[in-house]
Amino acid sequence: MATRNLEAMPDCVFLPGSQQRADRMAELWDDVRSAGRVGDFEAYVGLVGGVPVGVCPTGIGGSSVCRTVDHVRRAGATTLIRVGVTGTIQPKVHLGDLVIATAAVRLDKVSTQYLPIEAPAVADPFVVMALVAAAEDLGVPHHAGVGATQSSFYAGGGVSCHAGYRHSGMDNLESDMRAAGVLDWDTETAPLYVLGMFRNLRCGRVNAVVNHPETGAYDPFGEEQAIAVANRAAQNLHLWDARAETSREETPS
Amino acid sequence: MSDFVDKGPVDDFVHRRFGREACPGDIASHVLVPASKEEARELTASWTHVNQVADHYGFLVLTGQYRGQTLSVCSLGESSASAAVAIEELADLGVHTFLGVGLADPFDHDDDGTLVIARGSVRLDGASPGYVQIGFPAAPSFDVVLAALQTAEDQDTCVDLRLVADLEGLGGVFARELGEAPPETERARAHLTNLGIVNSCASSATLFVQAAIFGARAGVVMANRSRSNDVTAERKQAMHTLALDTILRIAEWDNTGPTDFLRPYRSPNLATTVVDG
Repeated sequence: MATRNLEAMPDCVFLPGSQQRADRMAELWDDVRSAGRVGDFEAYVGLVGGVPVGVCPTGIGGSSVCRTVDHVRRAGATTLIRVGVTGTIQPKVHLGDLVIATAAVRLDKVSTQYLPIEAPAVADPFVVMALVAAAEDLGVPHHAGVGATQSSFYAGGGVSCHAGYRHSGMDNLESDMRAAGVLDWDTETAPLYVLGMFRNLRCGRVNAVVNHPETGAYDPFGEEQAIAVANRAAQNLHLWDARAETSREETPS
Repeated sequence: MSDFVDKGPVDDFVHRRFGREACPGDIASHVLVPASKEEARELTASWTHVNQVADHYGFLVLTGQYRGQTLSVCSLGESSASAAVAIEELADLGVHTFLGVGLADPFDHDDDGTLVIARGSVRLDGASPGYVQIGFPAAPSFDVVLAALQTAEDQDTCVDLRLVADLEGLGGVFARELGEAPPETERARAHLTNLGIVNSCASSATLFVQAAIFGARAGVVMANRSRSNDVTAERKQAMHTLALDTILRIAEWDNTGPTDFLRPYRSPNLATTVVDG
């Protein structure tokens, strides 16, 4: 495999699924340079608004995310923000909207290797706050709530597979999630959040809805907004962390 | 023909509207939910115009005024089955914001009244699986957590933001108070401790799951019990003040309208918050 040790990564690292999305994120930064590779994917570091940030693509799926998380963690990252794409479950979530996951339904498998299934996959609230604040500031339509993470992109989301293959367990999956108020699907968030709790990392996620809710047609225009929101969120967190550090220094022990 | 049973009518089951003692309008939309009736009374000690709405099984429901805001309190009882009934009835009566408040059980008992805000709860309760599959996260509402954090900061109170466990379904929680916990309960506590989850709060998972399913908001603030299984009056008062001012803050946010409710908390002071687990 092409993996080699990553160079030192900054506190805040973005985790898109694809290399193309990572490249587009890095194009918006200053002083960008390669930070090494994890598997097939190249990582970058740079500055956004003067704040050090990194990006490392994860590929698809929970085990792939966990591998990337451990690599970037060992390289120094402490705050991880997935920047992904998704399909909507709720009628109120429209094409191009962003979905910020406060928590995720654990329909995946790999997260159970870290914490028992009864444990919730929850985001770090300050990362969520930073993302919400960024979306508000940029005027981007967004929703904050629970997402669902499955292990198989089609069958796990109740979507008919090749040659129309379906089984009975797929029939009520999406309607059950809709009834429970779940906003969207992906294949990465729950393991990211569970591993984040297990490794004491701050994690959050912003997904762009890229499938038309009624026709299913693919349109990725929301990706650029997700990237912009993630970049702004990193700056929010940097500002808040600096202020907290100052506050600690001023507080008598 | 479907065998689905619509449980909608008021005059059907014994617990409907707390034994028919409560009506819509009797209960505020923002409700504190402690475990016991004693705690419910303690929480309303500083209120005015307190009215007893219902006293049904483990549920004492009181409505009154706290600093000009109408609030209610409802004790949940000690089991998740009891809590689930109360939350159903409260939601049916129009409640949209729940704040759990009570004493937590730290596994290592090396604690004395630390205030904890739950960021999630391990679903080892009995009731929540009846609502949704176990992988669904028992997590508080984002804005309730923010309100609690901001309130703690304003009070200059140090809080832990923690993943907790709801061990109600293990059945051995109360036996443990007498030193007679079954081995499975002790194994579960040891396992969770190894995973960094170090205290339990009854009904937290049940509350989070039901609220999420109902489209309501929920959070939990708690104080860890000490080795002697209690907290000092000072720590208990701090917990009550945190809970009361948190739900008051949410109500005030709601009074200003739905837009921009997060803006008051756009620059958190992380220095007073310990995020762990």
